[in-house]
Amino acid sequence: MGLLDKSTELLKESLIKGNKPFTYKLLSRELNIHTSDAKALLYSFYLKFKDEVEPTYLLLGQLQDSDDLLSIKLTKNLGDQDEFEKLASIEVYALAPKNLTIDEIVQSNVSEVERFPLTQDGFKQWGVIRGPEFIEVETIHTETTHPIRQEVRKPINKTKEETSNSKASKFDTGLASARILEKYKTKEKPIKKDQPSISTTFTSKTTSSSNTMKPGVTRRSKTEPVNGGPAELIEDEDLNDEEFIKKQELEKQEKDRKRKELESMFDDDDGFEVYERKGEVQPDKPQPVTASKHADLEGIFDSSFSASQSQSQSQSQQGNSSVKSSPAKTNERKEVSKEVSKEASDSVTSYYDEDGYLVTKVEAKQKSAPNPKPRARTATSSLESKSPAKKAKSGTKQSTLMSFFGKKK
Amino acid sequence: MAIPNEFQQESEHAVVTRCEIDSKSGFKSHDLYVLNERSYSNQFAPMYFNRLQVLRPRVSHSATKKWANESINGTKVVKRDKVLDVKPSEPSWVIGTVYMEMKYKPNILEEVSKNNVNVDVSGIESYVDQDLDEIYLEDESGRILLDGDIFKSTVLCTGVVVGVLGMETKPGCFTVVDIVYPLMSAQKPTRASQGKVAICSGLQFTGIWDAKHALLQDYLTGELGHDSSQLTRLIIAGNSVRVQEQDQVQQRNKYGAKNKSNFSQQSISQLDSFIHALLPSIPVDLMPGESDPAEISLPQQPLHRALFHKSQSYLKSNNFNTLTNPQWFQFNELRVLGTSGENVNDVYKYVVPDSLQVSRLPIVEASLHWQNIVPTAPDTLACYPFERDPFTMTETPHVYFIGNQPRFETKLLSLERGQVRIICVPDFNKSGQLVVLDTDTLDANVVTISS
Repeated sequence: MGLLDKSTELLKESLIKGNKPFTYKLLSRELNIHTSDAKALLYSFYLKFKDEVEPTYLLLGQLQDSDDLLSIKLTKNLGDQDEFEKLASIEVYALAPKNLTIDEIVQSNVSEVERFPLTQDGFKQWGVIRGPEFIEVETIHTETTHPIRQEVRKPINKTKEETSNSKASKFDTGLASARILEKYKTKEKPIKKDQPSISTTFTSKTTSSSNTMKPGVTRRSKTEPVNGGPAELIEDEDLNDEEFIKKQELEKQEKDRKRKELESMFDDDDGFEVYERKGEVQPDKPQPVTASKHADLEGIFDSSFSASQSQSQSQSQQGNSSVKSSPAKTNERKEVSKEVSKEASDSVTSYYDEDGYLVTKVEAKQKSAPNPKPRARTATSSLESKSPAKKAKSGTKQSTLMSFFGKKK
Repeated sequence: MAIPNEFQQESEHAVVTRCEIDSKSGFKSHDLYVLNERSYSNQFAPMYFNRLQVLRPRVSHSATKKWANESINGTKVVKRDKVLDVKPSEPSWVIGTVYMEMKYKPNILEEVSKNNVNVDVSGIESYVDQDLDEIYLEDESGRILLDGDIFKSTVLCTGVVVGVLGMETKPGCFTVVDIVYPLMSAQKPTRASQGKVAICSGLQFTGIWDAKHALLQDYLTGELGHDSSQLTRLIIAGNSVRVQEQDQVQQRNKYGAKNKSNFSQQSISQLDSFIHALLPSIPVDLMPGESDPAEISLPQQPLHRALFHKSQSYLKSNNFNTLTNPQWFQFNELRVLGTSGENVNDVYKYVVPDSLQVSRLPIVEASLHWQNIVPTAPDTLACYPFERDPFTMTETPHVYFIGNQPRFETKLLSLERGQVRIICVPDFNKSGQLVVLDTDTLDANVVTISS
């Protein structure tokens, strides 16, 4: 298909069917042609569809009775060229449906044109004067700043992808990795210990992937939230280039897989860690913790109050006394309890030791050992007794308080 | 009637490369106008003293040269060192700083005494009331009222250091017959340079594109079909974004959440996009102006790099500079001084509007004679409390441009120690004009864009 046909098709689609204006600049970007060709193409199209579209002319030259170096005029009236003493050029700037102002035409096209960032080829292809320096980082910026994400993606995938250089990707990784780090830092907070190492492996994975993968894709993966919403957009957008779609899909799948792995890693780690820790640490530490809690309670509340409690429950008194003792003592006590339970039911205790101790312990004691029961109860009942105690407190608060005041009086 | 060309076939196009120019911006401004450490504990008085101190010998030199053998009514004129040394009926000349007592000029002391520290001069178009205004000459010793017909044809404003020749006719009133200005500071002897530089001001982006700005961009990048590759750089001289709404700041709740910024984010990102589209093709020097998101007080510091999300990668090189206002440029050997126009616009309020027919050239010319580009700071223009006065000229530029003027005006001014090309750069948003300066011939022309 020739250039003329291509442009006619494109312009028909946009101008006559879509009722959208088309500037020479947008045509040049869409077809990747020189702007002067684009202007000529617009005029050729206008000649074919004179009734349906309205041209805006670009006049360049010197106005009459003027010392200006150059006058540039946009007009819809070709007769305005009479104002010029010397007319250097006359070209079609834009074609538009009728009754659109020039400013409206420009406005509607600017954002469209911005979808096509300048590349090294652009200087030659589009007729842009080459300046002393060219930094090709546009894609990142347009993507991060552009309010409409979908619009930006298109050109990147279509035109920029192959030509976008290492600078872009370098820049990209820097930005994104920082973002990721931040994102995962916030995630890490609730998880206590081993998480940093996981996060670093994650970032290293992503950075390595960003080096190997194409910039557009990596960018997506990095800026994307974990739920994977925008990833689906890729499929919808890139309907033009089949090969590219395949590649992207493969990459997408791989990435999804990796992400799932990661997510599962995170999930597993959360669960696993907690369980592990419970399994390992719980027998030693939690009891001192409960003990200390209890000690706190003792410190806070009135001694007479705790005394009254202790009087009512002889078992809890035992618990309290054990609580008052040092952690070493509690350990001893536990060993004792283990021995006791072993004595009571040898067959049962063997596999309960291996598994999560805290969860299964209660059942084990309920099922198996009548002897360790009181001790086991002291441990758990001291924990549980807190809430009834509190409830009792809240229930009897008024009276105790009153009695407190009463005593004072 | 000419008609556009039809499309024949895709033609082969060569890459056009932009001409380059050796540009050093900030070489001098860095010392003069960049504020590294800011201390607002200073008083403003030292600026005036410093200005008088620096310019007094230079005025004295001019006065001696001009009036050494002068006599009035047969009496030889004498020099009086201090304003208050002037004796009645004795022809004499004296040097001091001009102070204009004007009816509509805001007076910070009065405002402070009324407990109103927020003096806004932006809404006032002219301070002048011809019948009531008084001109004083003051120095360390005191001040004396000046009188004379010469002031009707002379541009003067507060803060200018001059020497006056005359006689005390009435008590406390000195009738002036002649005025001298400071000796012009030296000008760089060579100004060899080649290439053209484009200067525009008052782009006033609002966040919504219009045809003029799009055409300017396309013209500069060469896509309009006109070869603009001989333009080596673009200087944007202030007022690049428009302040959307007028002052929203409530007096009572100055820093509360209700007080939104007057700057719209869209306008700044539009400026960023505009510059970003230009940078691969043409280097840009950006000066802040009155309406830009920089401090109001002169010298305005460069716009912050964070405003230029897209373009900031070019900031590392010399191809995109955010500069101070005022600013000294050097293109090859040519030295250019530029401001965004507040200085001239403020002095304009001191002169009778009709007398100069809106032309700003006489004011710009006068400021070169005064050897001070911002004489009205710190009186009616906000200014950092310097200990020295950075606006007093110690070097005369080859080109002096002023941004945001009502219309394009230019003049090659011949002074005793060289020639200066003065350019009033028009507000682009109103005029659609871009000034092209030929650094070789010092010719200045405009490219007009209209739609």
